[in-house]
Amino acid sequence: MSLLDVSGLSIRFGNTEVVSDVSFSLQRGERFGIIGESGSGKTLTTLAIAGLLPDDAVVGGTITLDGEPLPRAERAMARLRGERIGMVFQEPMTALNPLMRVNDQIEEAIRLNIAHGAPQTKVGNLLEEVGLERRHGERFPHQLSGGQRQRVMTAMALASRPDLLIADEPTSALDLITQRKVLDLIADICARRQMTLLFISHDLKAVAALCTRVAVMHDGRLVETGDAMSVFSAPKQPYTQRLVAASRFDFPPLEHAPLGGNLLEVDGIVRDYRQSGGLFQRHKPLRAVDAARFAIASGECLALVGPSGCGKTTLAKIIVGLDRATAGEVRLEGRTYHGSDLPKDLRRDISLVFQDPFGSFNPRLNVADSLGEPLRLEPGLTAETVRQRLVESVEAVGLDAGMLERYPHEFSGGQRQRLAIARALVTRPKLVVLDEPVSALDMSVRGEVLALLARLQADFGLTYLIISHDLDMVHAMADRVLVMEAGRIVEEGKPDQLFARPQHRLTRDLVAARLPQVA
Amino acid sequence: MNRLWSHPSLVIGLIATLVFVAIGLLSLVWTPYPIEQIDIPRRFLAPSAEHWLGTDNLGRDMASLVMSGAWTSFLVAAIAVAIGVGVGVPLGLAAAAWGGPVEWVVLRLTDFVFAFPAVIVAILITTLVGPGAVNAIVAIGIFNIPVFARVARGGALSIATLDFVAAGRLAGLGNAMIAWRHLLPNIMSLLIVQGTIQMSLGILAEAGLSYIGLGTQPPATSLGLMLRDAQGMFLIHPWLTLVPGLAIVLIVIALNIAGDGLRDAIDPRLRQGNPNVLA
Amino acid sequence: MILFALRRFLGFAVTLLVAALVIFWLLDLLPGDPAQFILGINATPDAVARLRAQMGLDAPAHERFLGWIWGMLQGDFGMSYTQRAPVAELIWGRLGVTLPLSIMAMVISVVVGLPLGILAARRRGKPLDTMVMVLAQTGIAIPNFWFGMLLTLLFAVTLRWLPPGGFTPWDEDSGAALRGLILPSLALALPQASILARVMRTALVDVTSQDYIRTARAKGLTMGEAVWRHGVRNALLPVLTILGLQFAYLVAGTIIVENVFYLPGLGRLIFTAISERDLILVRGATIILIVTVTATMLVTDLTYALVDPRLRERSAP
Repeated sequence: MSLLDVSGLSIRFGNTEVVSDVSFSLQRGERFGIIGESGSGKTLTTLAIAGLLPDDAVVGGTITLDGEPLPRAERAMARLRGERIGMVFQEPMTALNPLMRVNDQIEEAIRLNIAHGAPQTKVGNLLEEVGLERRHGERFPHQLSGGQRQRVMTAMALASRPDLLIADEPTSALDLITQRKVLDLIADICARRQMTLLFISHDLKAVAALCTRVAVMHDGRLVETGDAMSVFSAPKQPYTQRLVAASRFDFPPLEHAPLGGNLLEVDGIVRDYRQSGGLFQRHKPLRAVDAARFAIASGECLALVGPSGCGKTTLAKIIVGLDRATAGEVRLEGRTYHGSDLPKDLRRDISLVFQDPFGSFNPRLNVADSLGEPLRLEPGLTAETVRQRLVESVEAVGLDAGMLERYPHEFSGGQRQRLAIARALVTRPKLVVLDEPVSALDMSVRGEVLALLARLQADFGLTYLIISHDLDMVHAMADRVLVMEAGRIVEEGKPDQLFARPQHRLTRDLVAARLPQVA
Repeated sequence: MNRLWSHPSLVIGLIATLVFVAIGLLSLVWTPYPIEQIDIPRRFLAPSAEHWLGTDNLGRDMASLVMSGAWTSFLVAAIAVAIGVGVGVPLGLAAAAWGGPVEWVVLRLTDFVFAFPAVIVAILITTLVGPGAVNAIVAIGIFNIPVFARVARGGALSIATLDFVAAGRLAGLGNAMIAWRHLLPNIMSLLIVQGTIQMSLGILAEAGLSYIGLGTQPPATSLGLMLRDAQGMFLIHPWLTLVPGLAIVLIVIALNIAGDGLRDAIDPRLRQGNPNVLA
Repeated sequence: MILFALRRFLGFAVTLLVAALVIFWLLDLLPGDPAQFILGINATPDAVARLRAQMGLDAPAHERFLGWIWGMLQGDFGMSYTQRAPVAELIWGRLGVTLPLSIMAMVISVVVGLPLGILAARRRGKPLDTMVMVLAQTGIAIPNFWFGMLLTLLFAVTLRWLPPGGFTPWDEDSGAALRGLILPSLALALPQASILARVMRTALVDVTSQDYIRTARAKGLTMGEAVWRHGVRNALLPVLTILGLQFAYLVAGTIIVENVFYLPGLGRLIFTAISERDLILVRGATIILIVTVTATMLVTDLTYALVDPRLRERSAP
């Protein structure tokens, strides 16, 4: 008999059905993954299994655990959940009670299940099992890193020795190396405890690394279920095929113009942040960027990679003129600046594409107003020229000029990112800085946006500086890669060489943490 | 707009508020009787067809007094809100757009003004220049300044982290333009909601100040002043106390319902308690 | 934590100093010479000048300001020239009414408001919730002094349970003193309790949708248990801020309400002082009110930091 059996599950809120006719079953000890983009209904499905859906959700179909239907009474369901199902959620920052020490939160999970005859365990043992030290237990959640919090979550999930572990995007808020460690931890624990795993993610590679069987979910329905190997190597449904292609960054490489001379030179940039010590303490300043030195050739696509907090975004902000360097200088075609003192007539030569397509447009301005904003840097343009430039750039990114009169909320994430690229092109810049240009987008549209960027580079002879933590994307796009750690640039090279033979410890860690390509 | 009308409490609150405002406006051109008309023989009359709400201790028509008093209350509260918005919002926006020392000064300033409840400000002003409706306006207005400065700064700060503000800076916009073009339009809904809350607090505060003699002075009238006049005889003629008191309650409820409805309609995430901190 | 407390305390001291400066400056602007006032219009200029010198009024402004501050630090608020008594003594006597009244009102509003708010949040959308919220909506809209009048009508005039007004000093009959404060404190507490109930309900409803509540439920707690064990303490954080502000403004609010009940509190002292233009008394009384308000906010800040570990470490305000 299967451990978990879901059949004909549907979830409705009011008149909208968000999950329709979902059926699958999990054998004991199996590792099952559900893949889906945001809004596909995958999280709601797991919440239904755990009995954690909001009160206004209407659920149809049946869910059985060990052949028994889930209890309807709230208390009985809560105890069953505590005893038999362990859960790890996505948001490590908010999923722990901020006012309670870690020990007490884990202790609570243990105590709750002593009362129900569950096997006893100790907080210390659990901490050890998830790779934390005892002193971490004395801390409050805000004193731990994201990865450590996710380990605490895991420890709590294990407190009752559950049969089933549900992990809902447990690593998508973590950086690359931590992500790999947490995934390995989950795999270890499942193997050691013979636990059944239900793993939910939008990341095909994470699912491929952990699960033996997978289901693909789209618009509230399961579109394809099967053996992980066969789904990834020979996807049957067009949607799955798109996902797999996007995760491989398969797009035809375009020839771009030969590299010219140095367009931008970054020379010994240092950025210190004064620590807010107030009146009584004086901290040493925090050095976000430490003597960074590199150059970008005209027509090149240079990538800057590194873990979160390594200073890559700060460096990008200095280059585009949003922040000011404490020391050192930047030269654009020989003209020197230090960040926010970037002269107005040079500003039009550099533009920035932001990470989050939802925050990068003022909801109160229409697209034409937002896109036209950078044209203020070119005084003296007539209304017709402005209009023509807007149309030009919107059409360059594959959108229709009629969209200029519309407002941002009328567009999807992928369309907004295209508009953001159009805004970056409207001043006909030489250098475009791309800050995580696709990481906020759904998997299936990432490929299109990257292909667009590659085409634009070829068409307009643009120079790109890509800031990212995504090695696969960088591998597909960049001519040259810089690796950054704690404000310093520690390694540099062509992507093929760099990733094949990493020299520096961080690069080796990053490459090792990289999940294998699917199938 | 349709979205706004789908909130029944908003519709009820807004309509009720508008009715009260209309009655107040009407008092400027017409009241059943002139409010200054003292007619001692006809005092303490019960409500009748002639005097809808009866007459007071001087034989004045209560309905006329309430109409005119409601208008004073609205006016005082509205001007005080205007003062709060006019001074507080630019301060809050400046704090968010410039940051650093500007923000520090604005924050310390608002902290400081919070230490002066409206009653204390009114006491100081009255000591300086004597009582009057202007005192109430200034006292409540000063109290409103840090409230709006905080709301504007808080709202603007959460907007300022969004990328479109950075995009504006890249396009060469200065702090003032950023505040005007990107921050202000996006905190308007917050300000409107806070405005209705401060309106209702202002009406309550005006009533309190007039009641202790620091606000509106005769021959003008306000709902608070009517309560002050009725104070000496409220045990014998409770009616004179009930009418203006109920008028205050109804107006404030209307405003609060409208404010809550607006908040729900504009952004359900803004559900926070309104600290009623009038003195 | 100690640094945090020190910094807050410094801010408190600076606020008070600036407030004192503003009050001093405002009241110093006034026309009218206290010496002239005391001696009457018929006094010779010579006599007025002598008295001015005796009162220290001829010293430069900054010296008089520092003298005033220095005096206050030693408990000397100056002499009231209308009441011919030390200001400190007068204020102290009146605080015996104002402070107990504020504290009683605060206790009532917490004891009534918080449980109602929690109840409403737990029964969200049910008739009880609607009832509590309608009551709270009304309570917020009722001016406290008017409510005081209604209470007097009901409990003092109709039912004759409690005195309609006036105050028996504590040392004469503390039971009677307490009875005299019941109606005024109820009047003060009504709007505050309504606000507390609303804030508590909103905070708890907000907390209910937090991720850590879901985590707690995943551990095996029911919604009710999770909210009780993890939600209430978190929800109390915003409530605490409101509580601090409320106490501060309750103290100010007593000034209005004591009029209804003819209580000899700080408010009446101030009004007498204003009408008699006794600036030294006005000055002393307002600074005492501001000290109370500011000190309450300081205590709130410190309590907040005690409850919330995140705040203790954050060094910048």
